[in-house]
Amino acid sequence: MLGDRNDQPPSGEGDALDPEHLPALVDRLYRAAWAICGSSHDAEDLVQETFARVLARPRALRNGNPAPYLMQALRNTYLTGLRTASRRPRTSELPVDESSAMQSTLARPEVAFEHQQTLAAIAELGQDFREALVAVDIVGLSYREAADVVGTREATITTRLFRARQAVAKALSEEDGALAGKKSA
Amino acid sequence: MGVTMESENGRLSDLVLAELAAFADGSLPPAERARVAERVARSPHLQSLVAEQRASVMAVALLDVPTPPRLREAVAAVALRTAPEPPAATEGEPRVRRLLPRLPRLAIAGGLATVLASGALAVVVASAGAPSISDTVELGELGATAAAPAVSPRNDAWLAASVDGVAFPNYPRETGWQRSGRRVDEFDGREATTVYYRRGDEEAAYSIVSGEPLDWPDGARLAERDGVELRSLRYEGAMVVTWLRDGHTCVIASEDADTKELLELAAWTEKGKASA
Repeated sequence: MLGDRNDQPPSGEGDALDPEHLPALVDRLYRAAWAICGSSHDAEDLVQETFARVLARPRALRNGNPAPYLMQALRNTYLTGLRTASRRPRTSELPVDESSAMQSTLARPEVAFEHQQTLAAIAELGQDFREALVAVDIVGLSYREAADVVGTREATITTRLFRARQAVAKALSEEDGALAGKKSA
Repeated sequence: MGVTMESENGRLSDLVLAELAAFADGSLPPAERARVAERVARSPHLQSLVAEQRASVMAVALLDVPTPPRLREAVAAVALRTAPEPPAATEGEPRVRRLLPRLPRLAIAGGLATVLASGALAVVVASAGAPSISDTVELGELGATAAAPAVSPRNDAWLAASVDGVAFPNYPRETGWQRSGRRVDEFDGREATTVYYRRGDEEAAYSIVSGEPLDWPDGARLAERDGVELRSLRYEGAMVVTWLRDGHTCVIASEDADTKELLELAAWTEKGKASA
């Protein structure tokens, strides 16, 4: 199971993972983690734990690209965490206006709300579909890289991605419809 | 929310769904893209499916979720502790020399031939095949060789620098991005002019290539702003957005800014400003 391979570098010879390149990937990993966890606080913990594990010792990259490696490490760390999560209390997500992660000077409250809706819609997907969308649309992996990370065929990733996007689009459309109904009521 | 669209998509094969997903995000190869576009154009049902795909892609691309500073600092601190010692730099060594190993696909014609063109030092290079978006990004990574162009005396929305009449933007002060330098390069008979913009410690390289449009890069994501198709991709640690302006390939790349911001910077020039 992939979740048990967290400390194993990808197979094949390749460039070493350069820690200096990692901070530039924090934003993408954080968004991915939030979409996976459905909580900004859990996402922060997950990213921190992932980087701590990855940087614990030198790593080799298959194609010189750290993103697939980090996505796999994030996924594995998450799956490992899931196994122990049932043994501890869950943290509830703060409302939008209380979440420090949404206190961006660029993000107006309604925009922050839309973004949280998008992340919530992704978090509601089944795991297989969520992983496909996160790997491709958030982390920016190619279909092939995403398939390698998840351990499935490229064709499977693309159909999962299609259905995941469809579900997210419908969820956001329904939310928009509900909001419009409230405003007109 | 479950994934319950099987009945709606039931008449379509997985192959078609996969093609529609790739068509919607711009990663479908050009040859297949034309075929799928034709099929989509004939079917309102497929059009609605593609619209859903794009709505999701755009919603995700526009996510503005700032990373908590404490998380960024924690990761940077760990990375700093584990980073290998950098090789000792030679005092006065030009930046172009240090960055040359990052040009794997470019065969340098006659060594590094530097010429003066438009007041900027240029590197004349020849690539193994037709110039590509990645070639342009790599040239941009070499750094500025001349001062930033002046603001256009006719319209302060633009700079007094252009390629075949396609001018570089003078981003409004409120964006924080200010012009900082430029370079001009020639490859395969084309001119690639790059203007650099800085915002604090962040840098972005905006290049315009003369002549016919370059091929779209493989695996790029498709986005749309104000009716303009923009393609984004990652290349060697940099985020890259490429699009066409008046039939010319434009490329903006940065290791500091994220895709959303680069899309904004790219789309800015298409917001109805009068040309310089």
